[in-house]
Amino acid sequence: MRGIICLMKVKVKLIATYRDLLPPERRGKMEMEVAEGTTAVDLLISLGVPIEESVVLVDGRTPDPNQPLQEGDSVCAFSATAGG
Amino acid sequence: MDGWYGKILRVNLTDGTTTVETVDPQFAKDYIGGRGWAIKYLMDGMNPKADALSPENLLIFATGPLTGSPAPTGNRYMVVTKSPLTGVLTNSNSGGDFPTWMKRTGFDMFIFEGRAEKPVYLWINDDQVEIRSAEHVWGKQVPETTDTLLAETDRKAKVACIGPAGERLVKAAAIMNDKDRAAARSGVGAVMGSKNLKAVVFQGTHQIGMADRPGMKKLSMSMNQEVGHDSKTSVLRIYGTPYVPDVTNELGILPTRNFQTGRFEGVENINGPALNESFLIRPGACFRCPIVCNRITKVDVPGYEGEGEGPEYESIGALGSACGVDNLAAITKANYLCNEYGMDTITVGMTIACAMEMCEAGIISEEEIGYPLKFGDADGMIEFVKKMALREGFGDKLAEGSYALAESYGHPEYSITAKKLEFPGYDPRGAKGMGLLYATSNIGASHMSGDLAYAEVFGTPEKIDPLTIENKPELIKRFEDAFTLIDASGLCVFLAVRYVFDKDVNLWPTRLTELMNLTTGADYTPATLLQAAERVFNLERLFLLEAGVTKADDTLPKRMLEEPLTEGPAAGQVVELDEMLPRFYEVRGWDEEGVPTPEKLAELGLE
Repeated sequence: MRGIICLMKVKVKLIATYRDLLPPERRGKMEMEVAEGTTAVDLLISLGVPIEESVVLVDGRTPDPNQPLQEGDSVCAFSATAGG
Repeated sequence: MDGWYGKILRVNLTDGTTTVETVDPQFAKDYIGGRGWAIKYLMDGMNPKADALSPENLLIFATGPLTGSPAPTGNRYMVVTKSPLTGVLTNSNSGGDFPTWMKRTGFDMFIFEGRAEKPVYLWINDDQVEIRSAEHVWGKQVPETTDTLLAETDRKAKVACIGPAGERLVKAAAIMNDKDRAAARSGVGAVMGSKNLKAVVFQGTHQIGMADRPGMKKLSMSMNQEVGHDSKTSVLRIYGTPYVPDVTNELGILPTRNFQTGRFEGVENINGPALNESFLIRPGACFRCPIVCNRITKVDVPGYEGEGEGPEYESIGALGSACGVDNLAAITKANYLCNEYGMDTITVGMTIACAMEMCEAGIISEEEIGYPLKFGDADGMIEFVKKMALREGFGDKLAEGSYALAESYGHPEYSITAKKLEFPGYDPRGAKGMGLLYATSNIGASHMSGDLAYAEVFGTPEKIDPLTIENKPELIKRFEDAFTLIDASGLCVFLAVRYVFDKDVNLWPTRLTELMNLTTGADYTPATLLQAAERVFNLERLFLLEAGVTKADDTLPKRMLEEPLTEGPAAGQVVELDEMLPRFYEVRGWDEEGVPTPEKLAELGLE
């Protein structure tokens, strides 16, 4: 029996040095489809983001690491470093 | 003594005399240096109620034990004085090359008192001390002043000076060193101008004694390698602080249109990648710094041509998004003008933003100022930067800072300040700890007084929730003490927060203690160092109280307390200051009025 995989659209924004993980023409921003149940961390790891060294945000807030993404979520990551 | 020369040069500008004073070793240890030594001399040497622009105010330049040492970023100095902008204390920090050259003169600290009859500058070449006429450079901008004084002293010397803004007592005036670096905040340049002191020029060959020089070199070298190989810190080399607008915009705390909102539609035109693509020539570094965060830039867009350093994040926030301006060429040009006239980009940008909002609200009329000033007007912003520096027309009102400006129209609520110092680039409604910091910092709304944004925003040393108030009073106390320690030691916060404290949010100074002991041999422990920082912080608080500050001044603008943000992740949020402040006083060992208790003062040796 084959299950149906539901895909959801989410936005990804990678800041500063992480922009290079997306194609240059995307300028650090991309809309992607992910399978239901995918977490922000799953998605960012698939893009090559070094999670342990990063700040991860979903809609501007620090997510529960086990919380699956919802349709329309905005996922953002940047290297945890000094401020301005 | 190792680590300190134990020597202070006191310069009496009124009678043109200089005196060398020696420092007691126990005092040196108990107050660390830099900001710590300076507040003790300020407290003992002047009436805190004195007019900041009178000869009675003292202007102090201070290094710490790690300034000029092999420690990475050990190249900062502090200007400590009473602020004419805020009417309270200020301590303003700068890097570049100058601080190390200052240390090579053989003095730890300089105290300027009185007022010269005519413009002068101080020239120190090792043991030769001269007060010279500066009449030929009075009126000159910072780059020309610097070049002229180097040509008539020693090309290898280093200069700190004021520009036309400081001469005109503009309350945003900075003290500029190495042309483009600034001890910027709180109008320290106006204090220098009030003393008719145009510049100081330092050259020297003195070397500080060191308790364990081989040990210090070894630890410093290993730290340099650690920083050099750290991918996180490389963000600052590649993009500098201009990587930050994207971050604060995502969190909904990028100051936009005088803090009316925290999200700016033009952010992608003013961020790090935009600067790199358009104007960056190369990254630059302060003396021997492995972080390399400076931006050396050049603009050739017609109407905005120039070259120099900047903009940093704070300048982008103040001159850009806070003014609704997304023209990066104009922002960079305004930054160059601030450097050339010698002004703080934060107070300048935020004061113009305040004026823009008051114009749009109809409180300031186009007829009065002769210009239809409104948000988003890049050329208007630049025009008023110049007018502010020269006190021309409406610029004369801007030159008093945003609080005096807004209050003069009966609407102080438009000034986004704490203790009359303009906010830096983090809207505290979306970073609550920063709200408590702005309200309780000893110099007003300064992020550099205990920048909890490191944790709330940047995840360094660990990410904490910016929207809760839980544990924030405890953390702000620790961050204020830790940043006092950084300022007193002579390090830069960019290095310090990541590399000299243990890697959790409590900032325990294990490695800083090691650096300090290798340098001074003073047998500090992390606990005694933090206690010394707390001693300094409390003595600063006593200065504020004697200057007339009360609990009512430990507050924020109405906008932060009563008007919720309307978009982004912090939508609906205000700063719950009333809930944090009593606990903060308690954690500090202060009474309900914010006064250190006799027990706390006894514990710190301040009774």
